[in-house]
Parts: sequence; structure tokens; C-alpha cells
Amino acid sequence: MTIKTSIINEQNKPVLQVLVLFLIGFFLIMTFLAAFVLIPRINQSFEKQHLQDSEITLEIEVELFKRFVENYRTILQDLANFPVITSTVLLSQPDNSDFIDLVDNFSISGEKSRLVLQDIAGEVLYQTAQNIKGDFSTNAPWIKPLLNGDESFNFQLLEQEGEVFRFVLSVPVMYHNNIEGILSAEITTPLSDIFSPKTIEEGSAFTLRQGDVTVKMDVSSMALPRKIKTYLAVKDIELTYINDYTKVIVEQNKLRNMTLIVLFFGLAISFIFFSVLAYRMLMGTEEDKTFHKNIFSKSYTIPLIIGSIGIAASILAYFLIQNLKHQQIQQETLAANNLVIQSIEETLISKASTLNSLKAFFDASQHIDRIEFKTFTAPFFKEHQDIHALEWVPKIEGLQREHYEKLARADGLAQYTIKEANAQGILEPAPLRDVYFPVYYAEPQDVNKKILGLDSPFNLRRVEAIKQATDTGDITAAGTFPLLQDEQKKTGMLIFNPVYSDALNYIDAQQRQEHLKGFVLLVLRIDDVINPTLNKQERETLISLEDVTAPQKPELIFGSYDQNSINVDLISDNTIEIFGRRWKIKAFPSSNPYQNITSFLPWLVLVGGIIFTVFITYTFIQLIRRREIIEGIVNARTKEVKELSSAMENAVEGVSQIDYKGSYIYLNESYASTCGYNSKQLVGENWRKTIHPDDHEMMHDAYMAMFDHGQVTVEPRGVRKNGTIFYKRITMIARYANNGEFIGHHCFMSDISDRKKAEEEILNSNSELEEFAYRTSHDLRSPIISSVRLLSMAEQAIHDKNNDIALMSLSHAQTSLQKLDTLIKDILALTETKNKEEEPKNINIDVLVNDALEKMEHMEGFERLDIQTEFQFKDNFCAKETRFNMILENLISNAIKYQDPKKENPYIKISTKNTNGVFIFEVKDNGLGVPKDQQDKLFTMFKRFHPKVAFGSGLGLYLMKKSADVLNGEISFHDHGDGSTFRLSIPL
Amino acid sequence: MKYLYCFALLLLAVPAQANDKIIRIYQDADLSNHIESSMAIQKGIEVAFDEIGNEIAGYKVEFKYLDHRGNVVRSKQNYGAFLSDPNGLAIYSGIHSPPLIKNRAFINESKALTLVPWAAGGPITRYPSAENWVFRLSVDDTRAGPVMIDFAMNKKSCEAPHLLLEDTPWGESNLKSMSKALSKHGIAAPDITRFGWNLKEQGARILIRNIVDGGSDCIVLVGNAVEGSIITQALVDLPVEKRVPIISHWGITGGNFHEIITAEKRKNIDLSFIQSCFAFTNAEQTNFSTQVFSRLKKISAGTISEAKDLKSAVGFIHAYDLTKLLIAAIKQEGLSGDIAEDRNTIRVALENLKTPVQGLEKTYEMPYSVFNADTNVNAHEALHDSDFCMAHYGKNDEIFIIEQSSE
Repeated sequence: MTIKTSIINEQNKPVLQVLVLFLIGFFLIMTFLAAFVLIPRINQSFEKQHLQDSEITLEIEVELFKRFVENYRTILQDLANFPVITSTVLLSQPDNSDFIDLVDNFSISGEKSRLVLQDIAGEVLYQTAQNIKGDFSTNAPWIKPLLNGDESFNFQLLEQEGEVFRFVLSVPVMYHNNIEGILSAEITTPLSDIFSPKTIEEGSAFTLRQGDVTVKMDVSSMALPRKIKTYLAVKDIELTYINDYTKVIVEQNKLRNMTLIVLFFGLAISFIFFSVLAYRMLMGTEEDKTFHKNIFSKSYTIPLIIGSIGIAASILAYFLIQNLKHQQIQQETLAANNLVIQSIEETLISKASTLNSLKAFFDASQHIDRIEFKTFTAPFFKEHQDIHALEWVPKIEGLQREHYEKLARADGLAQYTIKEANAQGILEPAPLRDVYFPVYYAEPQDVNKKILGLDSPFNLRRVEAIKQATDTGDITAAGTFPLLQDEQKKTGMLIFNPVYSDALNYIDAQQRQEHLKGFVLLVLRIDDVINPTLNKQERETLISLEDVTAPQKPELIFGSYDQNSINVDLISDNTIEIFGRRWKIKAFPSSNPYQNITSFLPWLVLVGGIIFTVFITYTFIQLIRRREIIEGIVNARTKEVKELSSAMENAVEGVSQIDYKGSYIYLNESYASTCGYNSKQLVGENWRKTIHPDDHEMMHDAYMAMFDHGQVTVEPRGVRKNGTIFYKRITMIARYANNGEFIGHHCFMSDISDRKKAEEEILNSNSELEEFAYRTSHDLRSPIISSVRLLSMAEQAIHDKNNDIALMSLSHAQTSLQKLDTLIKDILALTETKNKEEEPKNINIDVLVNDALEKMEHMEGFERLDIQTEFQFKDNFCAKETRFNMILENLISNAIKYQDPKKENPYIKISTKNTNGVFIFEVKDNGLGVPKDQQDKLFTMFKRFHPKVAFGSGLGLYLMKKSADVLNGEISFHDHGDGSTFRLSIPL
Repeated sequence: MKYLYCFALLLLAVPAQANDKIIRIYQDADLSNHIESSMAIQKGIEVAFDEIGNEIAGYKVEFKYLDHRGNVVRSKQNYGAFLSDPNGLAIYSGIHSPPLIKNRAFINESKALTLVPWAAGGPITRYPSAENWVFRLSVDDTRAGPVMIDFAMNKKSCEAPHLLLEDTPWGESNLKSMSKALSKHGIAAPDITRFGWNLKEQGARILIRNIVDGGSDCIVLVGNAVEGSIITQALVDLPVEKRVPIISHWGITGGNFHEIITAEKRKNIDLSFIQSCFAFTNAEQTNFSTQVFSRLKKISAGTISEAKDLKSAVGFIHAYDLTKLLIAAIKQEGLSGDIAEDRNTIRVALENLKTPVQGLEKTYEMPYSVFNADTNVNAHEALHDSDFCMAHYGKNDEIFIIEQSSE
């Protein structure tokens, strides 16, 4: 991993992290799926598989058993096919020495064989030993099917003696495909030879049952034996495969625990991983933060994941520990249950031998009297304290009733009579019947005295049991009911074992009925069977015993349980088939043992895990919240700065920062562009570069003032990159570091050229106005005063009757008034010029010049002038025509008015041209010109350079200058030495 | 439905009413393994009764054949069935001697009138009691043995005969008679091999190889068709030069021996066997025998048209002759209807037949008499030494008599 990491470059790191995240996510999803979906499914499948495996094992074992039997059958059949055997059965002649040699020395699987040869009548012709077990009577039920060829062999299971398996195998002796006799062998072999050793080694066991005979392997070590049965197709053999279901539970628990452990560790690793991730997110580089933010769009995703995972891991750990504890309790409980069930089973089964002993006692004797019965049964009560009664119930024909009753009375039972219980349970003499089954002997007599004489058929269950026992010859139980002889009327069970008139086996029910002598009867009190067993147990275990002989109508015999109050996994059950009935025994703990789990460890782990998780999660959340607050502040600040920056960037005024050395360290575009630079060009440059040299001293003074006042505002002239001058207003604010050290100043600059220009204009206007007022007052007053005087002189002269003087005075007065009129017109024209608004339009220079010349033809000296025109540019000239025409007419009229009369070739040259995009209109003459000392005041108001030549208001050139300004142009004067050149320049 | 039920009852009632007028003739024989001999016996019985219209002394004759398959116990059970039948008059045996020998006491004690047309065991008819219930018209080992030995020694020039006998009472009885006969030929201790029933091919091959390798130059065989065919096949399987003649008891002719040891196989072996001397294949046939065969052809519904078609013919011949004796006895004494009494009456009548009876083998004059173990051991034997001949199979499995025993 280290190597891999080392060779992965930084660019691959995010990919790797995403991959790891993906894998962890995938792992978690898969693990959760495994825990909550797959494991239950797997457990179900596991159980199903176990059942299937068990069934397969059973099938295999059945097959093994069949082969085992078949192997012996083949050996025996081969022996039966020996000619000497055939001859012996055909001839019914077992004294043949060859035959005797053969069978006496024949061995099966290394053991000397124990053989029985029977003829077709079932008579034993020969047997190699006298004590060979098995039913070889001529009426044995298995003989006829074998001789008829209905069965190919017979298998008789013998009673078990230890861990060995004994059976009798019988095969037909064949002669040319005909059955001529039966050869049987009693075979003894260890149980382990029959079944798969591997299966047995794994703790499995087997039970073989045929009729009443059961052979089984020890299952006491199994905590929870689970049985699967199968019936072999032949011989009515039931093979039961028993395995310890605890192993399945253990395997299931292992799987569950393993999953929980994997899940727990997965979650724990994920927890650590996400914690590290969160830590890095909080403490890592900006790149990490950005990366994590990109992955987890919300800040709290990771803490939430950590919290979820941590809590899940804690819960899992809790369940893991709890599960282990439950597992232990479950196994202990099931083992205890099973012990109880087995004990009860064995107790019940042991009663069969008691009954069989008692039956054998009756079989062996023609008559057994009451004393003999008592003597014989006494030991049973010592051995089986749960036996409530042992009884002899003879079959008594109706006619013999009285005889039997007399005999009983003769035995000392003075009140003996055959009786039955009425509907109220009171015993009363039984009515006449064809046959009676009364209790004739009953031991212990003292507790069973009451039922002596009680006829069994009074109860339907007894009738059914009696019939079943009679017809089958088997031990049969009569279900359960309250015991009449019991004071407490507790539930009891009656078990009948039929006794026939001789010990022969009868083939059919009719024969059995005919030869029935009676029954030996065993009475059990259910409490007495079960309670001692329960009392022996260390754990408090309860039992429910249910008769399920009729599956659709189960009957609870003992105990009860509330299915809802008991954990199903703590109930053990087993169904036993005994005495012709099926009983389901359920064992379960008296209280829920899970409730007694006092271990604090799981809770400690759960609470500890959750607290730890909450702590970690809380810590991360707090860290994130703090980070968010800081980020909020930073963001706000950043926003402000950005907004400020943006404002500054977009401000009309320039902003700059200048370090303590006077060099620009920052300046916005506005600042830079105002100075004719871009911002980058000025960074690092000294401020002097942008200030007019004449104002450096002013700036220095302002700079010093800034130290005193923190800030200062000054309006120096700026110098643009192209050298042009502009006025700017600068506010300087000193900048200090946190330690108070001066680090420079902010400089806020605005271009105030327009303002300055306006101010100059205002100043000029004020001057002009002042001069205008002065001139106006003077020039207006002068003709008026002059006229007033002249008119006074004229009046005087009139009075004096001096007409000449009067006329001359009036004439002068008229002249003065005409000047006044001209002056007023020019003033009006000036006013009009200032206020008139006009749209530009195309101007035809030719037409305007010609019109002007035509208007001026009557002026004095016009005719002597050589007027020349040269219009190099006359098309596409667009301007405010009135303005332009006023300038044109004034320039031409001035040239005409101020021609030099002394010159013989006065001329006027009117020309137009386009010079570098500037329209040039020139009027050149060789007239009087402008005195050099007054040329700088040429375009001011009320300037008259040749008052004697012509009267003028002194406003003409001033008006042309204003009109040129309106036209965004410029008018200039050039003294070419022989006259004047006026040039109007208007950018195109 | 009600009428149909009544009708069915009526039908069932009819035979019940006729029951008194029936006598039932039983056969207890091997109907499984040696069926040819058993069927030949049945045909002999049926042809004989057919001649009298299956009715005698006012009784219809019915036949019931039981299969003991050679098993003595089953034979005893069959006898039980016969004895419990109130109409069962007589019971014929079949090919096997053991059931008769083993159950001899039972038969005689049960008073079961037994007629033996085939089984040759010597003790069968020699129940040591004057009240002997077993009558034989067949080869008797006590006399057949010497005939076979004489044939082997004289005609087949045997010098070292090997007695190959089944391990049964029948074999045992032959052993005695043959040993005695051989001693007359100067062989005091003959080679003897016993074999059991159910002998298989491998056992037979070992057995034959041992006999041949042991130097025996002929085999005197006492066995039935089943084991006989296996033994003969083992001999056929030997190289030609090792094959030795077989002089067999007639038991081999009682089953499907001829089908297993076919004519083709028989060409390469020397096989002869004892028979009674009459055969339908004999060149000379009397009018009587011709008539009997004609009747046989008639009742066999076309399955038998020539002498060669009749397998195990000796069974037919003996059974026919024996039935003729039975008929004569019934006719002589009549029937009372009490079956036990009638059985005894007929038994006594057989021992006291007053008129000669024409049979295929011969005309029987007083064929039976009262048995006496000391003075009249052959009292219940209808055939005598002169009636025994040696025979061989023909190409068509027919039996040809080759030698008169009297020669």
C-alpha cells in the first residue's frame, strides 16, 4: 500500500480517495445487505439446506443400510443356493452330513453363522444354535409372504443389547425359481458398521424401528436432537436419522456472529476513516477542503455519517455480545429440554418391558391367582414408582360373570362385582353383556380397591384401545382421562397388553379375538411420570404433553404453554410413537432465561460506543460550526472586500496604495487610465511620475501635512503618459501596520480638469462679464453722453440759431447713436450666440462664400479687392451652419473692412482643406493686420485694433471664438508679415 | 339384480348336489421342473378313464393335479389337501421318489391310496405293514439297479464304472442295489459321487472332470432331468476323447432333458437309460396299443399325432396301465360313497384283482398282493425284472428300446 501510494502522483490522489470512498460505501451497503437481507436468507437457506442435507444423509444411510442388508442377503442367498441346502429343504432331510458340515461351519463376515433352516411349512429343519433369537414359529407373519414370493427376504430387528445391532435375515431357498424353504441367519454387528462412520463421527445417530423393536444409538450427548424419519419400502422398517440441531444453530450463530463482527469492524474502520476524513477536511489544506466539499456537498454529511456509523457499530457490538450470550443460554436451555424429553421418553418406554414381563408371566402360566399376581408385581412398584396400578383384566364371557365374581369374593373381596361408572361417575353394577373386561386383580390393592370389578368397556377410549390391542397384539394405550381410583382425579393413562390363550402369534385379528384371554394393564398417573423427571432437573423446565394421534384433533394431556410468551427457539419438541399413540412432548423453560441476562457488558459497549460516537460527532459538528462561523466572517469580509474592490475597481475616482517609499503598490484601473496608463504599468513607479513637476513641492507639503492630520487633500496637476496636463484632486490617507509602523498611504484621486476648466471659464466669464459690464457701461454711456452733449449743443445752437453748429451737432449725435445701435446689435448677437441651439447639417462652402461676398459687394473698397477662393475640401462638411456662416461672414467682412488702402493689390484668399481629419477654413489678406502687441488679445471682447478705419463693437472676433468653441473648433490668427491669416480648424 | 343373485346361487348349488357322484383322482407331482413326465402321467390316467367315459360305478371321474415341485413338505401338504377331499379316491405320484419315501409313513398312516407310475425308489412300496397304501407300476430301483449295472458291464464293457447318484433317498436306494450288483461283477468298492439337487453348471463340470480324470470309463447316473441334463452337458463339454458312456436311470427322461441335450449333442455321447420295455416307438405295436395311442391322439387335441410327440412316454404307459388296474379294482368292488372306506376297499381290491387286466406293458394278472416285509417285499410292484429294458433317444427325441433286460 505504501509503495502504491508512493508511486501515485498527486493528480491521482483524488481519484484514489474517491475510489476508497466508493469501496467503503460499497462495503457498507453490501454488509448491511448481508446483515439484514442476506443473513436471514442464508439462515433460512442454511436451515433448508441442513434439512436437505439431513434428508440426503438419510437417503444415503438408507441406501447404506439397504446395501448392508443386501450384502448379508446376498451372502445368505448364496448359501441358500447351495445344492445341499436345496436338497435338504426339498427332502426335508437335515441329517445330511454335508449339509451339517456346511451350515455349522459357515461364517458370515468372519463370524460363525447362526443359521436356521425352515421348510415350506415353516417348520425348523435345522438350526446351528439353540439360542438364536427371532420369531421362527410356523405362524410367524413374515413366513407366508416370503414363501409366497411376495417378499424377496425378511428382516427381523431384534431387541437391542448395548451398542450392537442384531437382526435376523431370512431368504428363500430356491430350486429352479421356486421357493422350497427358508434360510435365516441371526446377525450381530456394531451399529457403526451399518452407517457411514463419518456421519457417526460427526455426532449423528440413527434409530431403527420395526414394530415394537427399536434399536438406537446413544443421543444423550445431543443438546437438541432433530430426527428425520423414513420408512423403508420393505419390512416396515423405520430409519431415523438423528443429528444435533445445536450444530446448525451453532453454525447459524457463527455465521451471524461472523457477519456481525465483519459488519462491526467494517463500521469501525469506516468510522475511523470518516473521522480522519473529517479531520482532514477541517484541518487540511484548501485543496483538501475544496475536494471534500466537492464530495460532500453539505458540511454536516461527514459527521452525520460518522454518527450513523458509530451508532450502528455500537448497536452491532451490543447485538454481537448479546447474541453470544443468547446463544449460550439457548444451547443450555435446549440441552436441558432435551434431557427432560429423553428422560420422559425412556420412562414411558420402560413401561413396555414391565407390561411384557407381566404378559410373559401370564403366557407361561395356565392360571395366576391373586397372591401370585401381587407377588410378581411387587418388584415393579419398587423399580417404577410412577406406576399407579398394575392390573389383570380378563376377558369374561357373559355367562362366566357370576363364576368370576364368586371366585373374587372367595379371594376375600366380599363386595366384588363387575361394575361400571354411570354418567355421574358413580360406580354401579354393570348391566348384562356378552363379554366383560373387568379389573380382576389390581395392585397395589389398597389404592386401587375402588376400581376392582370396573368393566373397561364403560369408556369409549378403553373400548377403542381394547379393540386395537386385541386386533394387533400390540401394547396399546387408551389415551388419558381422570383416574377413578385417584382421590384427586388426576389424569392417568391406561396401557393394555393383550394376553392370548397360548403364546402363538396369530396372523389375523379374528384369530386374536378368538384367543384373547385378557389384558395386563398398567396405569400411569401422568404427574407421576413427568414431575419426578422435572424435579431432577437443575433448570426449571416445563413440559407439555400432547396426544396427536389424531392430528386434526390434538389433545393436551399434561401441562400447557402460552406460545406467545415463550421464545420459539427455546422450545424443544419430539413426537414419540408408543403404545399405538403419538405423543408430542414439548419442553421449555419456566421463565424466559433471556430476561435473566445480567451482563452489563453489552449495555456498557452500547452506551460507551454511543457516547463516544456522540462525542466525536459533536466535536466535529462544533468544529464545523466554528469553521462555518469563521468562514461566515471571512466570507462577509471577503464579500465586503470584494464589493469594495469591485467598487474601487468601478469607481470614477482612482484609488491607489503607495508604500512608504512613494511607489505605487496598487492602483485601480480608473486611477491608471486617468493617468494614461494601465494599472500594471504604474505598479512600482514613483508618484512623481504622475504629478506635474511644478506641483511636486505642493505635494511634498501635502504629504507632510498628511503625517500631521492623517489625511490631506490636495489638487495638483497631473501628467499623463502622453504628457498632457490635467487637474486632479488627491486625498491621501496614511496607512499604518498593526504595530503602528507607517507603511504608506491610500491615495484617492479624481480628475477635476473639467471642474478646473469650468472654474477657469467662470473666472474668464467673470472677467469678461466684468469687462463686458465695464465696456458696456462705458461704450453704451459714451455715445449716449456724446449724443446728449451734441444734442445739448444742437439745442444751444438752435437757441443760438446757429444752424450749422446745430446740424453738425445733430449729425454727430446721429453717428453716436448709430454706434450705439451697432453695439447693442452685437451684444444681442453675443447673447444669441451663447443661447442658440442648432443641429449640424451639410454645408456647401461655395454657396456660403458666394452669398457672403454677394452681401458685401456694396462695402467700401470691395471693388478694389482681389478675392480668390480655393476650396480643396468642400463636400461632406457637416456643422452648425449659422455659427459657421457667422464666422465666415465676419472673417470676410473684416478682411474687406481692414484692407490696406495703401496697397495697390489688396487681396483676400478664401480656402478650405482637410488636414489630418481636421477641416481648415482660412481667410488670408494683405490688409492692415493686427499690431503685434495686441495679437494675444485678439479674441477678447471690445478689442478694436483699427478704430479709425472702421467703427466696430470690438465683439466680432470674440463672437467668432465663441462660435468656434460651439463648433468644437478653434480659431487662430497668424501674422504672415503682409497681412493676416485667420484659420478655423474643426475636427471632422 | 335380485334374480341374478338367485341364479348365481343356483349355479353354485348344482355342483354341490352332484358332489356325491364324483370321485376325484389326484396327482401330486412335480409340475414345475419335470412337467413332461407329470403331464405324460396325467394323459395316461385320462386316456384310461376316457375309455370308460370318465365315469365308473356311477361316479363321474374328475382329476386334480397338485404340484409339489419335488419338495417333500409340499407333497405332504398336497396329500393333506387330498385327504381332506371327501371325493378324493386315489392319488398318483410323479417322478420324484423322495416325497414318497420321506412321507411314506404319513401316507400309510393317513390311509392315502397312492399309485406310483414313475418314482423308482426302492422303499416306496416297502412300508413295513400289511396295510400298505402305495402301489407301483414302474421301475423299481431294487431291480433296475442291477439291470443298469449289467448293461454297463456287459454291453458297454465298463471296467471302472462310476456311480453318480443324487444325494437323496432315491440315490441311496440305488446305491445299495447297484453296489450289490457291482460286487457280482467283482467291484467291491466302486467309485461313488453324490450330488445334491440344485446342482449348477460349474459344480457339474468339476464333478465330471474329477470322474473322468479319476479313471472311470463309464458313468452310472441316478438323477432327474434337471440335474441329469446339467451333468450330461458337462460331459458334452469335455473333449471327445474324454467323454465316457452314461448309463442313466430313467429319471432323465422325466423333464426337458431332450430339449437341453439335443439330438445334435447326443450324437457325440453314448447315452442310454433304463425304461420299461414297451414303447410306442417299438417296431411292433399291438392292436391294443394302437387303439390306446389313437385315443391319446384324440384327447390330446392334435398335440400328439405320432409316437415321437409323446414325451416321457413311459409315464403315460405306466399311468395308463396303473389306471387300468385302478379301474379294474373299482369295478371289482364298487364304491360306497364313504371315501375312507372306498380308499381302503380299492386298496384291498388292488391287492386282490381277480381278473387279468390288459395293459400296454403287459397283461397284469394279480399284479399286487398283500405286502410282507419278509416274504413279499415286491407285493406292491406291478413290473418285474423282465419288464425293464435299456433305451436311447432317437433323432426326434423319441425313445427307442435297445435291449431286453431278459437278454
